[in-house]
Amino acid sequence: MTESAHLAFVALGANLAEPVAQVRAAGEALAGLPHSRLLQMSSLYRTAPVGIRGQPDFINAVAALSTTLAPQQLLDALFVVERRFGRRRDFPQAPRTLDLDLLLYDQLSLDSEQLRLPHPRMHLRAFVIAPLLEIEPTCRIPGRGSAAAWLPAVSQQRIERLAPREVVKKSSRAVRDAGRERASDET
Amino acid sequence: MLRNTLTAASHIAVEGPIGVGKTSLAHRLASHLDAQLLLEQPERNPFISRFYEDQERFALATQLAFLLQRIDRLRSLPPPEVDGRPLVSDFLLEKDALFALLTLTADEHELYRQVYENLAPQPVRPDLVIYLQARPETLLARIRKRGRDMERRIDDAYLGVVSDSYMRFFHAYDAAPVMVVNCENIDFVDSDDDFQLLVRRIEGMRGQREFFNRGE
Repeated sequence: MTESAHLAFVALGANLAEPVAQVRAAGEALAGLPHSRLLQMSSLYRTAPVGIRGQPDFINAVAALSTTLAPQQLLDALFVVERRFGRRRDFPQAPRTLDLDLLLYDQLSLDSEQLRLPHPRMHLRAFVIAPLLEIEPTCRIPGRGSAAAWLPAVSQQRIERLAPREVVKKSSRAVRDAGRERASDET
Repeated sequence: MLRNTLTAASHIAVEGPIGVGKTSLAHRLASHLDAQLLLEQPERNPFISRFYEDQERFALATQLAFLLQRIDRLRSLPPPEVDGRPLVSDFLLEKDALFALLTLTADEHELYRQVYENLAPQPVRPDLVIYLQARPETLLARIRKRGRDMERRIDDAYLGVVSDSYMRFFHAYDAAPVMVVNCENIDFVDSDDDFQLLVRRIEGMRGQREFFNRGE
């Protein structure tokens, strides 16, 4: 492999059919993505759903990936995982088995029909900002400054951290180092 | 469940007198929320420059042109269930009647009222209104600074009357929660900190009306 590795953050969410198990399983699926390594998974967070009443709580988490896939390839790979989990796209904000959102890809800004980076609403959601900061406290969102600066603005959204995070393979240091791997490359 | 005022709102309207910074804040909020932006286009009112030169003569034409434009702008919106994104506007339709009351003579106003009732526009009810305030001197300074030709003749007496009308209007307004922002010591256009502070204050809103007033 000669391509350089990129650092990507992916938000995971589920609110159907044992969402905790779904998100954990999705974490494993991310670990199995081609040309990618799962660097870290945040804790799981529980949120009451937005928009529709009477639905079960959402379970969310954020994962850090090192990948040599291009942004669009990574997005396609995430769709494949979503489909495998049987996401329903019946209507907007419908309950979903698994929802994967590409949040950040290095510090890339991109606005195409298929993909917008950074994710345009990530800074509005406590269930994204909190787990993201948990695994990447100094994270910056292109065009919006430090992710931590948005935490007070979403602090009214009630989320609850569930389990202590599971460290997958590497420590948090691996996340910070992933950006530098681009220069040194994978072996 | 707590509703998060800003992120849960499907329509946020920014209002306030001329020069207070409605459009700038609407732009910034729309970018923040990834929302659709619905802006007034005063420069496309063919009477507006002449209105500021000779209010009495051009008030009715100006009002009617604004009324039609505002109704048209609101009609042009795709329904929220189609777009999916929230909406940020820099006006409320109700401002039309507010200005009509200020600028028209009694008989002109009666004519305006008949036209309005015949058109029967449906005022859009936002989930949140951000009402911006500033002193007339501050407004005038900002209007001079932005240097729009058509606004060159606005004076502080007119701005004072407009500001008072807004205050009376929002005193009675109860169609949506209102965040009243005193813009004297806050710059949410050029200062990220100020904008984030405003966002936090709005997210923390619990009542129908709150005041954001930062002392010097």
